Amino acid sequence: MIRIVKLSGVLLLVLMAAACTQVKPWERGELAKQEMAFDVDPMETQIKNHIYFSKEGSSSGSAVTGGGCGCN
Amino acid sequence: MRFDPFTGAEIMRNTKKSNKTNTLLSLTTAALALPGMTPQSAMAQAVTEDTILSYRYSQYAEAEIDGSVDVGAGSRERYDISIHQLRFKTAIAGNADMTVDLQQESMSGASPWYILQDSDGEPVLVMSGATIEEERTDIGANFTSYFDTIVSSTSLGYSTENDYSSFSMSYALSKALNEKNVTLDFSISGSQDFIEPTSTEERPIPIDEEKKTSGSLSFGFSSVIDRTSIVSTAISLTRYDGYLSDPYKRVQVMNLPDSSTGPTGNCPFTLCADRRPDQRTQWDWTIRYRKSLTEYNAALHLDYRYYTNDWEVDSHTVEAAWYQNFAEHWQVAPQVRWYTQTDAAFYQIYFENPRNDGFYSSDYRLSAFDAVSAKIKLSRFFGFGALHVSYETYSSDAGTGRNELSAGSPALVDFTHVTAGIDYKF
Repeated sequence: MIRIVKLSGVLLLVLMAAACTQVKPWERGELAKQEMAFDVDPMETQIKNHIYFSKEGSSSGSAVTGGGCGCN
Repeated sequence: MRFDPFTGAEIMRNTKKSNKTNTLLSLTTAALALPGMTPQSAMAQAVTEDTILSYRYSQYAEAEIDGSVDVGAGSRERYDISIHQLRFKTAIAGNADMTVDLQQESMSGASPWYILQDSDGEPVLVMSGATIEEERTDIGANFTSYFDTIVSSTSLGYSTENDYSSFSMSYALSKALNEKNVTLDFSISGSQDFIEPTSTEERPIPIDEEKKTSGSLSFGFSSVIDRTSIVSTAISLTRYDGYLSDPYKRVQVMNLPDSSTGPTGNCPFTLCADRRPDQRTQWDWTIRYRKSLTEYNAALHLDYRYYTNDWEVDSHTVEAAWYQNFAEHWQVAPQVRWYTQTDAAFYQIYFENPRNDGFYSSDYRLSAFDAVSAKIKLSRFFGFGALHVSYETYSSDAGTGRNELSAGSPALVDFTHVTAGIDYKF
């Protein structure tokens, strides 16, 4: 857990430094593309997470992933 | 010319107004696509301009138990699941929209029950005999409000199946900073689950009804790196309390006192009920990177997730995808995923001696294993929306466990997953 906190802290510092690069609104055309979304297809992500949660030992951490105990 | 499949709007380039809106769109989507959130609550983009109806049909099929595995009883065939997903999204005010999700699953097949040690000291897998058939219905609603630099989202969910029901809710908040180059994200969620397992003469269940409670917190940060790349990272903490065992599984424990292993003992014929701690705390950290490659008319996705819990399961997940546009309205997206996890402290395929803490499980999902999956998705965009098809294949193998009895399981699963769907705006 301590490793996670340290790593997150370093990463936050890196990201904050990166964010100092100002990209003006009229320069963000590439970022607005459909394929640049962090979640291109939310429905696909929903079922994907449900499957992996049911078949692997590390759940998504969400309490809102839909029910089912993954039993059986 | 390209159309946004969710709004139907022609995607404009290099105009100040549309790019400012669309970049916040990208960042808020990024911001709310956190490990602690499901797509129900991570659908936040700008207020939808159209009403959108989406449908997906999926067919999930597990491979038969491999011929090299000794199956002592039950079927070699495993689960098949058919899944219908329906999503409806519409604006409900000038600065708010609502999304409703409905999911219906039909499951049938056999599943691993326990593993025995034979006279040669080799594992024998015992599967459930009769085919299990279940139906699951899941419904969720999300309400999202959009302000100048703040997006607020609330989600509610309910899921029910033959032996299980779950109520859940979550709240997410994101704040844009630094001329909307940066977004800070926060979410909180919780659920209350009830299990009432189905007991049969073949598979008697040691419990009548149990419940489980969970709560999760997540903090994240998304940032524009340059004109063609963005990154997002988040850390989540989740706590589970209550009944966390699998009532349908048994585990062989040898060298127990005779009083325990008699027909009416706690572990009849050395087969004890799956028993896990009644608490679990887990952390996970995720980082996602998106890069637009203008010269190729494509985008690269790279995701990494680290997970750890106090059952001593650690995992790493790496995902990579390439979204390639072609012929103006088409897109193909090959994807790969690599996963590795360590075994839980109380996992083995069977136990040659009792544990002091009384916790036992032979559930393959708690074993040390590695998995690789490959997927390809094809999309066609129209003025009214889009059509999608995808195919995924998943394969798992034993990893490195704390001992030879915790590395993998003869019950490890391989599967294929096929999906077809449509997005329609009106």
